[in-house]
Amino acid sequence: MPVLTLGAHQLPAAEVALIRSLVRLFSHTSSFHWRFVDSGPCDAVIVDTELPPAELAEAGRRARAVLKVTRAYAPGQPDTLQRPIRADQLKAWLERQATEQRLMRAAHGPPAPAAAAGGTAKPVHLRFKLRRWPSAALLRNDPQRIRLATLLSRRALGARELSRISQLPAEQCQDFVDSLCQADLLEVLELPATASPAAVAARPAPPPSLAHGLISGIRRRLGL
Amino acid sequence: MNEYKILFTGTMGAGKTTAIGAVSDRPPIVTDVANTDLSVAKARTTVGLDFGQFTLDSGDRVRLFGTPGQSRFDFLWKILARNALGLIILADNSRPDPLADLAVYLDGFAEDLAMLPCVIGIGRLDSHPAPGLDDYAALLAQRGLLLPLLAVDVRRREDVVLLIDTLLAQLEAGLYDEEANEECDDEPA
Repeated sequence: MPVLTLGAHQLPAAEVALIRSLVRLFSHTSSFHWRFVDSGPCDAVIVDTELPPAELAEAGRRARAVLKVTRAYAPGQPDTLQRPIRADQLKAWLERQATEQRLMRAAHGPPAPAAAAGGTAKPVHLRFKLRRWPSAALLRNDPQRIRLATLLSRRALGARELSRISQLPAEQCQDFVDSLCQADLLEVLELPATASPAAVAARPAPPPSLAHGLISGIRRRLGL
Repeated sequence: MNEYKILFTGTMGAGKTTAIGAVSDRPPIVTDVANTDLSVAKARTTVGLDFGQFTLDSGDRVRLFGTPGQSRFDFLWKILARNALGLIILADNSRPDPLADLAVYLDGFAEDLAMLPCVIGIGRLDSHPAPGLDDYAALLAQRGLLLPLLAVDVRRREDVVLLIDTLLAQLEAGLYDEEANEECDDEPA
């Protein structure tokens, strides 16, 4: 797998030094594929949420993925880390990005550098669909994994959409998608711009339909 | 009050009657007779259909139909599949060629499988590990199908519940599709 590049956009020097050190430390494991770069286009960039909108847009043009760091309490916010930066959270985000970017490369070939393309880099949203039913070893006879695999067997979904339908934690869904990806069981589709997974996931749940009522009624009756 | 149905199919001895009994409110009604097929070590077998049901809090009923296993009754399969919520195919891994058995049901329900939620439960994998789940997945892939495959023991209620839940998840995925499209349509251009 090619090495991915991580940059920082107008972060305090101490934080840049911390991130550089952490990336160097993580890179001692063979499964970690990132290196830190001081300037230029990169695969992902870290920015401060308090930057003016124009600066945030500038950072977005530099990279395919943007990780925001904030002082505010930010549990569950996508692509956001709460300060102080924690090594485990940074590593988890980078590994997830590596998976997504690997899938993107598999689906569309290597990305053109944002600067060379001369345009604004759009946020990349991916949907996944199962290509083949996973092995018993991957599913572990776990009803939740079986339900997630079933959903992905029927239609292409992003990890957040998967979480919304299954009502399982987003992180659990993402981990499962990562496992399927590693087993080369997923087809990758790019999400239409009008319906990003975050936007879909953030929408209020529609009123329960007759069919939803039936499904939940059957589950209740069966003790699920 | 509404009525819905879930269909159980599979070879003789695969456990259709047992599976229905595991979740039915009352013992299943069974239309069986003495088995005259000496290739199957079973005293009695279903010739009409098995029937069970459970009632929801709303008063709606889910009827559970077990098809006769023999392919000579395939005209009944198609009738039963109409308007079903889903289809559960039970395979018996102790039979001489369970993959060929499954192919019979995939052919018999081929017209329905494009839309009808379906799951395949494979029994007796513990005692007869070959073919494995991956072999079944390969058979499905050859036919351009992607269906959930679960190792089950239909004597265990939780296994039968999981089969039904897998059908429900397929229905949910379909519903989400409709909702997402409706919501996208609502968005300003």
